[in-house]
Order: sequence, then C-alpha cells, then structure tokens
Amino acid sequence: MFENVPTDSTGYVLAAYIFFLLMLLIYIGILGAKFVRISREIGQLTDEVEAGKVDAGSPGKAAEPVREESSV
Amino acid sequence: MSGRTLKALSIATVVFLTAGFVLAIFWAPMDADQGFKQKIFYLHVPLAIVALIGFVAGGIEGFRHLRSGDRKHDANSYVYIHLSVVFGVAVLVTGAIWAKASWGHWWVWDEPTLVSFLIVFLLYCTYYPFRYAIEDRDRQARYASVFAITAGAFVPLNFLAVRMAETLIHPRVFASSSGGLPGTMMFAFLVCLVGMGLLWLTLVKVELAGKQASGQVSRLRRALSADGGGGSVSGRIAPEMEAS
Repeated sequence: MFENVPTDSTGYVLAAYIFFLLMLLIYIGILGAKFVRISREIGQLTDEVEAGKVDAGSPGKAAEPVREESSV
Repeated sequence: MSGRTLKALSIATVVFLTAGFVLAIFWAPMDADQGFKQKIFYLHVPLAIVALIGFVAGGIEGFRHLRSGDRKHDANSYVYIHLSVVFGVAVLVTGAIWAKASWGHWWVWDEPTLVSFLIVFLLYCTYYPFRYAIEDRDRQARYASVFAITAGAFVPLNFLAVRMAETLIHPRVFASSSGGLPGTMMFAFLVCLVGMGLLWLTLVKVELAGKQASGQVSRLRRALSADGGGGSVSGRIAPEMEAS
C-alpha cells in the first residue's frame, strides 16, 4: 500500500489549500451573482412601481384601471 | 442579522482562518511520522467537523420546524444542510489529496472513516432531489424536515460506529491512549476549527439573507401583479420560482 508514497508532499499540501480557496472563491462568486440578480429584480420592480405612479398621475392615462391603486 | 454584524463576522472569519493556516504551516511543529503532508490535517479535519455539526444542526432546525411550523426553521435547515454538503465536497477532495500523499492512493475502501463520511455525504446529496420532487411547499418543508432529523440522527451514530470499529488505520489524534496532539498543534488546530466554524456561519448568514431578499422580491411581485389585475406588471416580469 505504501509503495506509491511520494517523497515530496509540498505539492499535495499546496493542492489541498488551493482547492479549498478556489472552491470558496467560486462559492462567493455564485452568491455574488445571486445578489446581483436580486438587485436587478428590485430595480425592475421599482421601475414598475414608478411607471405605475406616472401612469396614474398623467391625465391621459387616468381612466385606465391598471395598477393605479398600487399600494406597494 | 444587521449588515454590521455580518461585516464583523466576515472579518473575524478572515482573521481566524488566515491566522489558523499561518500557525498550521509555519508555527506548528512538523509531524514526526507524516512530515509536511500532515499540514492538510489543519484544513481537512476542521472542514469535516464543521460539516458534520452542520448536518446535525440542520436536523435540529428540522425538528424545530416540525414543532413550530415556522418556515424560518425550514429555511435554516435547508441552508445548514446545503452548506454542509458544500463543505463535504471539500472534505472528500482534501481527504483524497491527503490519502494520496500519505498512502499513495486517492481512495481506500477499507478505511471506515473515509467510507462512512462518503455514506453520510451521499445520503445528504439525496436531500435535494427528495425535497424538490415535492411540489406542494408545505409538504416539501415537512418531508424535508423529517429527512433532516433522520439523517441528522444518523450522523453521530455513524461517527460512533466508526469509533467502535476495530480496523482503525485512520490517524486518531484526539483522546488517544498515546496522548493525542501536542499543545502547539492543538492550538493551531483549534484556531483553524474556530475559523472554519465562523466561515460556515458567515456563509449561512449570507445565504439566508439572499433567500430572504429573494422571497421579499417574490412577494412584492405578487403584490404588484395582484394590484395590476394581471396587467402589464405580471406580463413584463417572468414568473419566478419561490425562494426555498
């Protein structure tokens, strides 16, 4: 079982620590991408709400029932 | 959790992990038997301990969910298990690297500690398909909690079974008859363990914050759609899966 034991193990130690750091970076990257998506969605919804308010306030659109009562 | 607390937690994580790894590599004495490759121990073992504690904590949160019906506990249980599975991947890979360096093989099937961790890991890998095979969200949360409790109870039993196994070739460094780790190694190990625990906790908090934000966006979208009577709001934004 021990005939294949490498004589220099520095590379293995480095590989283990680098793997951990890379995995951590990738995971943080995925989390960051998720937060960017949520931020974009909030921006979209904010636009929707603001557009709804503008529509409700304009004389030409006042008669339209869509979203003018938005309470969000 | 406030942003300030999360920031403090993140800083503590970086400080402890960095200090732990520096102590492990440069300060802790070289192992007489394994030499430099024993330094993987300071990464591999804290990862494994935190992952296993996370699985048990996921079971406890599942239990709290079943008792209270509060969806917050189900979300906690999911995130705990999810992060522990991620840590589990790191445990298996760093363990394989250590095994290759020490024994000349990436994997040894007659090693109870390795195989038992693989079994626990594979068990928790089934959590995802099991959970998402159920469409009804209340049933999904209840069944997932039952799974988390059962599997969480299996983790310490599995650990005890391995401890009681006779054919032990995996290094036993705690509470062994030969005295265990020397003080300097133990100190470096404990710093690494605290750092790893803080990392897990920080990632849990960030994941939960993301899930909460995602859920709030979904609720906001539903509210807007309801106000618009299915008008332009719902038409312009694609339906999103609920944050789980």
